[in-house]
Amino acid sequence: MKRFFAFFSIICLLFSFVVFAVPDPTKEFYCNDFADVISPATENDIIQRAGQLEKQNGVQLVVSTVNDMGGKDIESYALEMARAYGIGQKEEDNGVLILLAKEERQIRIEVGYGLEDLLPDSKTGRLIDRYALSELKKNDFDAGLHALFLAVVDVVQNANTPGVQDDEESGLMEIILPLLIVGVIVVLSVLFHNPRGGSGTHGGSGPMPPIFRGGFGGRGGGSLGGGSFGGGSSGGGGSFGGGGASRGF
Amino acid sequence: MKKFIPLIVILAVIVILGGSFIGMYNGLVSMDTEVQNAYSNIESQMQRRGDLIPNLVSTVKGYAAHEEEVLTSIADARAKLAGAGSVQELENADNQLSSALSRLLVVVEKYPDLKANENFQALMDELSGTENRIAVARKDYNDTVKEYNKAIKQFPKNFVASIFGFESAEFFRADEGAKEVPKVDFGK
Repeated sequence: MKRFFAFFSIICLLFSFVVFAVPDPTKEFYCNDFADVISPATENDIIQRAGQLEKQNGVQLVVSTVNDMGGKDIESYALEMARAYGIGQKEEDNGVLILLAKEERQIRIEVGYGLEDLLPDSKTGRLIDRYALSELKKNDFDAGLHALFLAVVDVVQNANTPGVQDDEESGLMEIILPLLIVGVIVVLSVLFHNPRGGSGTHGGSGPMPPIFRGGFGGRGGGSLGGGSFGGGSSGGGGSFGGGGASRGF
Repeated sequence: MKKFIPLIVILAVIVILGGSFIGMYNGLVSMDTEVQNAYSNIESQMQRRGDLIPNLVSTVKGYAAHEEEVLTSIADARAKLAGAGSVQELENADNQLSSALSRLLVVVEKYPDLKANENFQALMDELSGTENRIAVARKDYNDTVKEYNKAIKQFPKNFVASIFGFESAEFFRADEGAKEVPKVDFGK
């Protein structure tokens, strides 16, 4: 009986390796170099910048490399990985996964629902073509991935219009602006004080100027799981619907 | 006082059963809603693909005007898709369009100028992306259908299901060949 049990558990264990297709994310989360093609310097840069990016606006950008995909196509594999890792904040669906499959010589950028207008399929395709393809063809995976990563960071960061500010700035804005406006109104009403009319000061500005709504403050603290330097963790899992582009090299 | 105990027990049983009935009903409603949402997601991705096609066709025409047969079959398939009513019709129209697009890709290989055109590349990326989204939407839909169909058949939810008329949902079955996401390999 005991022998059977031991045998059975070994079979189960083997099965778990066969069935489970996507490897678990690394502790650092932002860089998962399973194919071991990324240099330590690049890896550090990725982790630092991705951490900063998340702090800025919650976007989780993850770079992964795998040796092979076990027969799956890159679209399914990337989707599975993005969902399994829970990339992106749950409410904003702002995850991005850059996946390189070494054996199959394919690369894909998988984009979460929330970033589809920032990173439409044609743009991600162009980004790969422009920043990674020639390096990847020459087997310089490190350079290609690094350049592509930086390009995507650039797109995401530059999209931050004054309406989508990071937390510190928006916090200050939310305090200073209303005071300024109230101050201006107070001054104006004192200057144009009509002795017949009602009280001299307007209590506050009427409808709030739209600028206040710019601060998407809620995101801040919760999203960083692993600490502020060198690491992160799932943002709760944004939704992925299959957006993005792939290339073979 | 003792006389009322059986009554109280009966009332309690009714309340508990009623409560769980409501719970089961609500559960089925929410699953059904998920199925509907997943289905309309498929439809909107297909719509999106449909919208990309005229642009694609005119770009291709600019370079490959003689390839009328393929371009016409795409236009036909697209029209069918727009007119599809049931899940079955949608599936068939989708398969037809996918295979027409695949044939287009074969044609495109003959025209390297077209392949190199940035506009065309952007369009093809969008098209591939949309095809992929359709595939994902289909898979997600089928997953929700599986859960829903399972729920309405299991005891005791099946009672609630039959009382309120919850019916099985249809799976989205793709043609084996049409499962291929049409891709143009610009890397090679």
